[in-house]
Amino acid sequence: MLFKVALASLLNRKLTALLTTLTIAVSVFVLLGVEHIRVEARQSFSKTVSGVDLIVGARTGQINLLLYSVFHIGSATNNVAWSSYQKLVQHPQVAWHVPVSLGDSHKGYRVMGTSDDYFKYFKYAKKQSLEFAKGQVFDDVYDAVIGAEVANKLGYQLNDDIEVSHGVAKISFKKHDDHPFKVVGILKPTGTPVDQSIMVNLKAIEVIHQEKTHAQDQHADHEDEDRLVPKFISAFMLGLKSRAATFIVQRDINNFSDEALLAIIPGVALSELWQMMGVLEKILALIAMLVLVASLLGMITMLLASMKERSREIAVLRAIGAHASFIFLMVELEALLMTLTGVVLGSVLLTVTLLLSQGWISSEYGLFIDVNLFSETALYYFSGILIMAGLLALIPALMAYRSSLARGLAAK
Amino acid sequence: MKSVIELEKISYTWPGSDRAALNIDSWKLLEGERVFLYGASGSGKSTLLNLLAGILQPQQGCVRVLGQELGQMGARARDGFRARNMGFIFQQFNLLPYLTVEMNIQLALYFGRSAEKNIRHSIEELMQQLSLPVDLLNRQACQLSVGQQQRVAMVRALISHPQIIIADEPTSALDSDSRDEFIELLLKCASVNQSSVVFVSHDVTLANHFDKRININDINSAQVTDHVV
Repeated sequence: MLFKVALASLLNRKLTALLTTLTIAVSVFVLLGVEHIRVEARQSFSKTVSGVDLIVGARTGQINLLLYSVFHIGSATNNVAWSSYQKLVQHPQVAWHVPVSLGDSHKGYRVMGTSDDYFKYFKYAKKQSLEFAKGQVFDDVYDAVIGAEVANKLGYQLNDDIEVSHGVAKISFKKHDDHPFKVVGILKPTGTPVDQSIMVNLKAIEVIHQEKTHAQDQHADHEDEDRLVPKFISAFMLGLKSRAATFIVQRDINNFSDEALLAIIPGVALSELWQMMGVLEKILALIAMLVLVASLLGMITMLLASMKERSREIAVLRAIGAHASFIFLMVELEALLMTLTGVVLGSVLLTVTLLLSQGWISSEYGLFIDVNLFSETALYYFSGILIMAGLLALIPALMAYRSSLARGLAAK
Repeated sequence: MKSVIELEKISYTWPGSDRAALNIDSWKLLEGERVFLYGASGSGKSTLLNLLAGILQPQQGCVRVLGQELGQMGARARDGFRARNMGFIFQQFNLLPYLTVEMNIQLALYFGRSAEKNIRHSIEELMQQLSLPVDLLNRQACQLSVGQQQRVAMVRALISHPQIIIADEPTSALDSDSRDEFIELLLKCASVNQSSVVFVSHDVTLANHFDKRININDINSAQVTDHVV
């Protein structure tokens, strides 16, 4: 009975109840959205690389190196000399090594020059190796392996031709048209930036860059391709023989006298990234909280305002024998109904938004946001919101309780 | 004759007021009696009704309804007592506009914790007695005309067969033709259950329906000419 009456009373004030519910829905959208994306982004970042003990690049910041070498965000400020690379991988603790050369692109997707060891040793998520959906690793100098997203979005099949431009913009003035690459392999989706990458042989990058310097001389020396040795690379990844050696090798590389280099431990660099983001995250969370409080206060205002126009309604109830506590519970129930509807609506809106933007976020940022909102944290938030709403609703509910005791029968 | 209402040495002052609104030495309503209570606004009749309903407690004196002293009951018990034993009809706004007619009536029974089995049947019967088409039950109360609403209010007041019916200006919102008919209907239904009726009004022309007529100023000795309720 109580429920029916509360619901009917709310529906009678459809417009204001709906607006209030929408306000709450928006605040829930923000609150859950901020939290969800925060968690998903971290997870996504963490899954991007595993099994790599050290990443080495020119001496820049840790985060900078991590971002461009693994996430392909930003650019290298400087390069690593091939000679340094060759020397350092001689270190007795090194089990495997993979060079990486960045700086080129194809229709906005990053082109990464590397060795075929990349496909052997690079792992992501839970030590997952890269797998081929079609084709295989590159063999010839102008072979390319493309990530799942690239194949999908640009519709490439095996044996298609692609040209590589210098720089990372979609439009580049320097196109290396003379040497189109051939797609020989397409990787399975990984949920990491690999999906948006094109992998080519390191030697091919060198040819392209040699062409830059021999701009006029486009037809010379192509027979020497196989003997091409790159002069620079952007960074290289190392797998060590034992984990314990990590700090030692790191120190050795950092102290390398030939060149100013930086060796980072991916996990450590990620932690630093999280720390940096930590402050921002806290601020966002705080703002989201405030938005929620504002919306709940809006609901309380709406309920308080409605009390005036409902004095007759309350008087009628009292006359037919309703106790003041019935009135109290009715108001509380109205608040909870609106909040619950707002929470559900907000979650639905968030889910739909995530569904629609998931693709775009992964293309732009290499972040894979799961659409599923249901987590323990979400449930805690839901309960917290309902409790807060119930507590705040005590204000109008108690007011109604007291006034229904003091007020007499229906006014004349 | 048993008395259904007894007021003894009642004094009530509204909070914040320095003058008593109601001072009644003694008043009784007997079983089956139908009383026309005349009172202008400010005469203390609202106060009296609130005391009878048990919503307000007098600072002095005792209100006894059906042999029970209302002051001795807890608030919740009073509310239940009111629901079971008293039926109210007001000038207007008797019903919750956003509930259906049927829900409005059932709500009254809910608070009275009625154990009656065949409620629907009783409701339909009463509606027919009051010339209300049964299909009104599913309409929202606000969709009815004033006349219909007042009669639905009567159904609601009568449905639990209360011993006491209190009507506070129930016909003021009706047009003059319907007034007499309404009162006759009320009195007829009341007599079926031998309910007592207190009919409060400032319209003296209606008094001739009733055997007993009282002016509230005759029983209320408080000076309340300036008091606005």
